[in-house]
Amino acid sequence: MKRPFIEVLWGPGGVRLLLGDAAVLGILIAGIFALVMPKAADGQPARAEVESSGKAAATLNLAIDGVREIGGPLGVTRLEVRGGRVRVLSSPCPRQSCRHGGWIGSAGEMLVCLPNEVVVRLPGRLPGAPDALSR
Amino acid sequence: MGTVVQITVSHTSESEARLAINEAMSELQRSDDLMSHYKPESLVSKVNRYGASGKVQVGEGFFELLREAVSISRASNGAFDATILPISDLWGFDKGGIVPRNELIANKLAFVGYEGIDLDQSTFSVGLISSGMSLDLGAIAKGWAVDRAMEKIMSHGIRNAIIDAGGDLRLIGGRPGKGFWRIGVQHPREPGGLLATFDLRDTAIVTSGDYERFFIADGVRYHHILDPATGQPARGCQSVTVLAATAAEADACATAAFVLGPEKGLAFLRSRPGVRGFIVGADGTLHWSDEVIEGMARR
Repeated sequence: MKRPFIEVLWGPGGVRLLLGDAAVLGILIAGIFALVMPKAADGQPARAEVESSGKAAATLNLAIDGVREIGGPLGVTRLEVRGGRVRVLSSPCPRQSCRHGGWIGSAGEMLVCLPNEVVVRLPGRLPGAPDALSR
Repeated sequence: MGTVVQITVSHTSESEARLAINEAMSELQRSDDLMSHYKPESLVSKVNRYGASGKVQVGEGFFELLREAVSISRASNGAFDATILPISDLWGFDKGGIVPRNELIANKLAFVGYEGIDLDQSTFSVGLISSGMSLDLGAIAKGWAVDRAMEKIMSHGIRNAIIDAGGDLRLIGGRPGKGFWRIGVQHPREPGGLLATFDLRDTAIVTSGDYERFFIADGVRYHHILDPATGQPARGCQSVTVLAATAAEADACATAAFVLGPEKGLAFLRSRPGVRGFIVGADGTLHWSDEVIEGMARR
């Protein structure tokens, strides 16, 4: 009986792997990702997605403290990551509503600076979390 | 509208849901084009420019909104007042904020008063009784826009949806499998924190708080919810949350109750059929309009 295999095009002539080998390779890759990629714990997201003027501008690793500058039409919005949370540290907008929003650290939370067109989202949704927020 | 709008829809057809969302977004944009006093071509700006020299035809929809605004102004003894713009302009909350001199506030208060809105139903037109007056529908128009957008959603046969315009919410139906939407209410003193959550369906819920737009000068916090009687930020509350059948009513009632303060604010909310809510007083104490809403809250 012909043993099942998958074909991987990698280099001249490609490489043929038996299905069992592919499964082992897959587990190895997944393990490496699990070690390298930032982890989510207790519903806390591992990263923050940042948009500027409607386009993806950055992904912040919430495990690494620091300050990131994001450009917008009014100037630079400075985002601070600390202890798994993120906040707007400074903004060129007049109302400073984004800065007043304080820290966010839970899945589904969002910071928005409309004038400077910067949006920070924490992906996901906690089980039992509100569908919407009245504020 | 100066805010982020999120629309959540549950429907059997994704294409129909997307079409409905697009129409609702367009409706929100149209409403903003009519109502924003920042836009020179809006109906509100036209009334502000020409209303004192003659009535401006505004159409039935806008007319009905103004009539509701005047009705809520009267019911709240002017705590909600759509003619507050001359005062809010002085405070400049949109430009970082400045504490105006008392004489300036006193001068501008002469131009504040909903009684000066002249409504003519026979022609759906609006005038202002003096040239210094001007309209700011910010405390009701966002809710009104949300209501109109929800009508668009419902016209597509959708029965489960949320429209969230910067925290002004209108809900129909509920999350599939649950039958309700879980709604959080922002804690007024803990950014990102929840004061309470509710399981709701088929209602509007709006919160007004002193944390939304404010500036600090000489250690004092000045927020944007102004008392039309004094021209100063109202000081009786940290936040007010109102549930009502429409977002427009919830929006205006939240502002009125905030200005009135906990005691009179609750009496005002209780006086309106189908309206309930709760107030966080200046000292952080929670005041509920009735036991039903208190019982619904998860804290």
